Amino acid sequence: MRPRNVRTRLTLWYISIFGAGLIVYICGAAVLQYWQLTSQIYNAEIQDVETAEGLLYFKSDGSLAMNEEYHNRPESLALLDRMMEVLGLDGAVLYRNKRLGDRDLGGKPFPLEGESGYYERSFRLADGTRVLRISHIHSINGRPLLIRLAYSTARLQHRMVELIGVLLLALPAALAIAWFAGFHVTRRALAPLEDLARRTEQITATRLRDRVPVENPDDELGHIARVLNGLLARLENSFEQLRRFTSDASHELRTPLAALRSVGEMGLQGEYSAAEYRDTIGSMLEEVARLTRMVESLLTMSRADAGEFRLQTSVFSVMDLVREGIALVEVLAEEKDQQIEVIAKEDFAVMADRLFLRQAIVNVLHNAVKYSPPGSTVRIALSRLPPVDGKTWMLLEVADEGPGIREEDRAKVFDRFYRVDEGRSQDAGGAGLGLAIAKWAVQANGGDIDVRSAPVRGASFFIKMPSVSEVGQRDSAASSS
Amino acid sequence: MKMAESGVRVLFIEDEKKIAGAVCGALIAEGYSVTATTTAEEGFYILHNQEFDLVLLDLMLPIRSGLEILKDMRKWGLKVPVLILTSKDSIEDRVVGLDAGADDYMVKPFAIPELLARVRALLRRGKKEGPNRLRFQVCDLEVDVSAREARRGAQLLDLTAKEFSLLEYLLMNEGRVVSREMLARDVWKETSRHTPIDNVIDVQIARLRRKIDDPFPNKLLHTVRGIGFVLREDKQ
Repeated sequence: MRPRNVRTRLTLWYISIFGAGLIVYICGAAVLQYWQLTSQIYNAEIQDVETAEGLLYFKSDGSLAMNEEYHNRPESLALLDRMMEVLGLDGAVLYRNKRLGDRDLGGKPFPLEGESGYYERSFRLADGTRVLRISHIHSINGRPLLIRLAYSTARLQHRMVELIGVLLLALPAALAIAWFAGFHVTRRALAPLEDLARRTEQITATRLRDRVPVENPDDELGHIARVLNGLLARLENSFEQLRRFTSDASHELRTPLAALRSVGEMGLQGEYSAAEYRDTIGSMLEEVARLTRMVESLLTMSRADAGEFRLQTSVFSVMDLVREGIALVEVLAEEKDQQIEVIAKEDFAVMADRLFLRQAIVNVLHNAVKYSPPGSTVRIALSRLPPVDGKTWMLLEVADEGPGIREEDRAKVFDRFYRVDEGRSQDAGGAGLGLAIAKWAVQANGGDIDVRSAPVRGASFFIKMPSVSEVGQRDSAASSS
Repeated sequence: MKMAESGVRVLFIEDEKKIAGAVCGALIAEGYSVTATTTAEEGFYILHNQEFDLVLLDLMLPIRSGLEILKDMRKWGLKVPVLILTSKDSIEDRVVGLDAGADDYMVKPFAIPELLARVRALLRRGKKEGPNRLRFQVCDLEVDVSAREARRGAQLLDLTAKEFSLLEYLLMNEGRVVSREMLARDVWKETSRHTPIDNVIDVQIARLRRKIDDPFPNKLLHTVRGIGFVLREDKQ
């Protein structure tokens, strides 16, 4: 099971690392101690062998004996523990001391055993006693003998157990202290985080202007605070947008509603002919149509904002799309005696949602036709941009000869409900959403839209899109009226 | 207008009284006999006891939703065509409605002429489709679709392709009001309603009128303010 809070988790981590370190330390100490003790025992054995060699002698009957009484301290450890046997090089057992009894210390000598100095070996006796054994070849009376001497490891093992026991006994206490320390250290480390959480909690939708204090901008907490503040800024921004959008929308809806109401009331106030009533009702229906269109556009925008549209992408020719757009708005241009001129050296294939991109192009074209004066020319140019990251970009420019857009209005052109001239909103038609929708449609498809304007000379809208491949060269220019 | 002679029975399940009243009036004026009810249960009960040629179904009904009734109807094997009327218009909502067994789908607010056109289309469905009419005559306007020729009296009218298909559509709906929505969808094949299509339609209608009406004393193409356009011979 995973502990719930970070503090517990950190503490657990802390003490497990601490505990693991301790155990490694204990093991190391034990190994070192073991190595030291064994080498001590071997050294003692070597000395003992040297002593014993001096005490060995052949009795008159040819048997080997040892002058045990020599030791001035018969209670000495060495004496009590010593196990010793003496073999002839042929393997015949010449002597075994009492401590060893009838056990053997390894049977026949094996080649080279004890020939050069002292041969150390850990060995298990027949009864299971583990011993550390030293072998040495020594001549007595000119006869080479293999002397084996061993101490039991029981004492060594006992000391090892004691040592490890003491160390392990200290472990729980050490861990407990570590737990306590870890717990407090993490609590102190996490305290600013909790403080941050508490302050953030107090920032609600109505108080988005508040920010979290950044105490030290360079440490991790400062980083979190800055990230939080960034998030809050974005949230505040979108809340503000939403608020403005709602108020704009209700304002826009109010206009046709007001018209609807006054026309209806006027119709009921007097006696009118049937034809006049028809006219009144028709006028009300026109307002209803306007309202309907507006609500539909708003729904589209809000769905776009919520990311509810799934783009259905396909690869298609931009030129075809432009031609379709022209075919649609052509009549509007003709009515105003405008020319639509297309200059395209080459065509581009783009991968996008065809309907949405078509919408964008149509809206931009319609905008150009709408604001250009009668008899003017709307110029459409399709060209290639310098490649970015190896990708080809195409640029579609729609230039009109309308009044242009003032520099300060440029950024607002794509805003919802924005109209350059508030007064002309009703007769020019549209809810001021066409370019906002165009912008959304282009950007949703990975492109971008922008506008540049020279006063008097008209505005140019630019749509740029990444192109998947060129469709091919086109003849210099196509023109349509 | 046509009188009640068609014998087509329509069941209309809608709880919003104003809409119910207006649509019923329009349907009766078209010559259909209409049974209206405000709840799904009642509608379901009536459906089990009478036969209908068409059901108009509102989705947002009190107690039981129209969608449930629709599913029940299809489960019971009722094959009567169903036209859903609703204010929900996301693609998902449409798909759900059509999956549940609806034959068509209309989003409120809708135009009555549009509703009538869809109703006619649904009633036609399944019946043997008459051959497309190739010749039309209204007053002294004669149109030969196969030759793409239109004349008034002796005078040949010079129409563009778009004007001709617009005229053809108006002729197919002669005497009935067609809305801008219908023209956008059926003549311009424009699925999106956010394009400047309404302006385009108005301009195109004005041009057509200039060619087929302006030079002649009796006018055929009329604007019905707030609804759309109608092609008919005006009886003075």
